[in-house]
Order: sequence, then structure tokens, then C-alpha cells
Amino acid sequence: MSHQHPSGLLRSLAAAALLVSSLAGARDASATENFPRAIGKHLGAPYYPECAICHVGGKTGGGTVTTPFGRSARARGLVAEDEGILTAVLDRMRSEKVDSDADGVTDIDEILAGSDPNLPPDDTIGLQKYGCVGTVAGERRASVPAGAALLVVLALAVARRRRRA
Amino acid sequence: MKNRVLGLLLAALAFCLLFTTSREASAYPWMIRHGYTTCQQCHADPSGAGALTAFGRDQGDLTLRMRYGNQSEIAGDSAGFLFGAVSPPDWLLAGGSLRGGVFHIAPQGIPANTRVVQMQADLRAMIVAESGLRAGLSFGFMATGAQPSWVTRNPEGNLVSREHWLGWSFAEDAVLVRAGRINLPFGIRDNNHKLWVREKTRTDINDSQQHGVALSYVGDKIRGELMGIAGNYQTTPDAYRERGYAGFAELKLASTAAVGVSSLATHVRKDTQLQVSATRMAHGVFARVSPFQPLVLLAEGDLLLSLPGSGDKRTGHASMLQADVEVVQGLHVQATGETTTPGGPGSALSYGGWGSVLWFFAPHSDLRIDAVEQSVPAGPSRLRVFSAIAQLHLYL
Repeated sequence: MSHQHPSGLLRSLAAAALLVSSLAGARDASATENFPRAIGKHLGAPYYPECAICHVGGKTGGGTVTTPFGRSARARGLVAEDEGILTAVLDRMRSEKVDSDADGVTDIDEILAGSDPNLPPDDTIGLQKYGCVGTVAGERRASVPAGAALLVVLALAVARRRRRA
Repeated sequence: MKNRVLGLLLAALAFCLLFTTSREASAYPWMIRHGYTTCQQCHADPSGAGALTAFGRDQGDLTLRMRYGNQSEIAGDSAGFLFGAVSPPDWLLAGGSLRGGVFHIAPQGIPANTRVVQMQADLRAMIVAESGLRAGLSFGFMATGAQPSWVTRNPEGNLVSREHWLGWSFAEDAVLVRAGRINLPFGIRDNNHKLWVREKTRTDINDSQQHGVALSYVGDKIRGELMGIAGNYQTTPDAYRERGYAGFAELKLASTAAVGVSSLATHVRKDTQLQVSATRMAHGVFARVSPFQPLVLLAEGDLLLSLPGSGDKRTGHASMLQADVEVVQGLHVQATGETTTPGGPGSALSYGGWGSVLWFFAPHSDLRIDAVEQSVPAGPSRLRVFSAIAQLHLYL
């Protein structure tokens, strides 16, 4: 393998490195990633909806806008990255009283109330939530996952055994 | 179409095997070019990624990064934790990763968008006691994304823990039994979580870890890991937790060639994508080969099966073939081709290509630039999406 000093290439890559490092401290300015914020602000909701309102499982990426709400929005012209179109689509959904999960409450009213516009009336499982502690969208419960609790117990047991040894 | 894809996969794997000549991987699976077929020399996790061993830190300095003519065979002091400013005790492997970059996406016919993305800000620690006790923990912060690994549940700005586990190592570190939140053992472990083989099988090391119990073995010829999956206990309600198994086994053919098989099967009461109960399976083969020193070929093909509680069985796939050329030490040029189909009614092929440059330009530092062109089905037509990303990674 060659170990020549690639000075020209190095200078170009160093310039790119400087560009990246200078931008790395800036705020995330994503339009699509800002959609939850844009939805919350445009509708005047007291919170920002989760990505899962449009993306199945909250995992973003191509082909994942398949929740009932996401499909309703796409059917009215929603495209990735364009915040202007997003707000127009939300206004249209409000005027058309779209009820994607057919539970009798419009999507926009559900968002404003902190409920999920994707849950059909017979759904008994509820919306998937991420995280263990803290609250979101009016949720009041906080929990410690069983796995983490088990690990703490095991760690304490091992430490105690080692002290005795 | 399915036969054609399978044919292509088999041809890709045959090509890799054909070039198997001689000569040990990790989140940098192409380190096989240096004879590193296994991961545990450099990583505390026997299946790769995460906290670095002392040997791994040395190799990061001697083998991974650009040396600018330095011929020394002894790693510099800066290879250590915090660039050598702090020396943790031998039983503690401390580290961390900061990764951020600029992401540009330009779908055909849709306004392009460029944004700055914070990808990772994690601290890691692992205990490697002489008694055999092993414990690993990662803890970090994400401004957005990585939901499955959230510890807190704020709309934005969350603490994350991708890994936390306790285990016991024995048989001279050949065997590790551990329980906790662990990377799913499946396929080629690569830190590029956007590759379809990682995304579609839900086995990336970004946020797809699950809680469970795993048994790993690393021998001279064979290595592998089998994990019983109890679900991700950082999400609720319980109905969304997948339960089942995941595992892989890899056979070392030569010091620079290895082939493996992977298998995963889980059941969930409510699948995040299908929104109904489902059994999900992925079964695949993979290969890592370095036919000659600058080149490494990585190939993986996975069959994706989804059996919804209601509805028809879906049979899809995800595949990847990657060529990595280390032009000079520390500077890599990569070409990657990938395909996937989700299966199901009207399922169509998605395909894409990546051109990537990875530059390990200084101790603990690397820069990566990717240009990606993908063609994905969009209703009856297709959508072409160009994206590019430049990212800077610093590890402690």
C-alpha cells in the first residue's frame, strides 16, 4: 500500500472538515425534522406532536409516512421538506374536517387535545411512546423500565458480593 | 423479479468468494484487510462497535488514521482516553463519541433542503474486571431522533442510552453472557445505520438495540452471538415490544475472508409499521473479503418475511454490496450498491448507490462524505432522491 503524502487532496478535505466543524455547532434547521414544531406552532397546540404522527413508529425515512394521518396529509399534497405546503395542507384538513382514524373527532381537534389522530375507536393499545421518565403531550405518568431496574439490582448484588469477598 | 434479485445476490456473493485468497471487525468491518476478522481485539463488545480496548485505541492511531509519513510502530500518547490526558484504571474502558454533520436532500421535483444534524453525543464506559465481570453503559444526548433509545421523553432534546448491560466473561474471554440493552447480533455491523440491510432488518447500532440476554462466542475459526430478545423497555406500551431471537455466526475462511449467516424472528402484538400483531423474520448471508490489500468487499443479502396477524404474508429483501479501497492509510473511498423490496401487494424494488469518502485525518477524528442516489417507488411511478451528507466524528 502506498503511503504518499496526498497534499492537494488533503487541502481540499481539510477545507471540507473546516466547513463541517464550523457548522456543527449550529442549530438543526431541518424542514422535515421541523414538521412537528411547525404543526404545533401553526395549529397553536400546547406541544409539538411526535414524528409518529406521520411516520410509523416515529422512525423517519423514505416510505415511512404511512400512518392514517400521514396518508391523509399526503393525499392533500404534503411533500417532504416543504414547510409552506405543510401549513396549507393542515388548513385544508381543518376545513375538510378530516378524521383519519374515524373516531368521530377531527384530526386537528385531536392534535389540539393531545390525543392521537391515528387511533381507531376500537384500539385498546394506544400510541407508542418512547423514553422512560418525564412527560409528553399531557402524559402524567413516569416509569423506570424493568430492564434498567433489573440491571441496577444486579449491579448492587455484585458490588455487595465483592465487598464481602 | 424475486428470482432476478436472488440471482444478483448469489452472483455478488460468488464474486466475493472467488476473490478469497488469504489474510481479522466491528463498526468498521473493512478492518478485515488488516487481518482482523473478529471485533473483540478492538472493541469491548465481542460483536463490534462501542467502547474501545487498549489495543483498539492503539490500532486507531497506528492502523486507522493517516500517519503523514510517521513510521513509528508505537502508538502515541494521544491514542489514550481524552487524548491521553486521563489514564483510567485497566478495568475501566472509558470513551465517547461526538458526531455531527450537514445533510442535504433533493428529491426529484421537491425543493431541496440542507440542514445541520447532531447525530451522536454519547459517553461510554465499560468494566472489564479480572474476575470476568463485564458491564457496559452508554449515555448521551440527542436534539432530535433516535426515539427508541430515549431515556427521557421530551418533544426535543432527550437523554439517550443505547446500551446498558451486565455480563460475565469466561473461557479466556471466548464466551460472554450478558443481559441488558444490547446491539442486535445480525449481519455486518456497520455504523452506517441508513443502509437498507440495517434499516429494513431493524438491526442498526444507532437506536435498534433491544433488552434481552445474549451469549457470544469468539473462537479461532468461528464467532457468533445469539440473543433472546425481551423487547425494548424504553418504549411503551408493552404491546409494541418485539420478543424473539436474533443471532449470527461467522466462519473465518482466511485471515482476510469470512462468511456468515444471520437469523432473526420476533413477534409483536402491535407492529410499529403494520399497526397489527405480526411475526417478523429476517434470514441472511454475508461476506467480508479483502482479495488484496487496498480493497475490501462487503456483501449482505437478507430475506425479509412479515406475517401479519391479519393479512397476507409479505416476502421482501434487503441487499448490499460495498467496495472499500484504502487509497492511502487513513483515506478510504467506498462504492456501495443496495436494493430492497418490502414485499406485499404492489411491492416494487428500491435501489440506490452510495459514493463515500472517509478520512481519518487526525487522532480520534474522522470526516465522512457520502453522496447517495436512490430510486424508490412512489405510487404507480418512481421517485429519484439525491442526498449528500458530510459528517465529522470525534471520539474521546
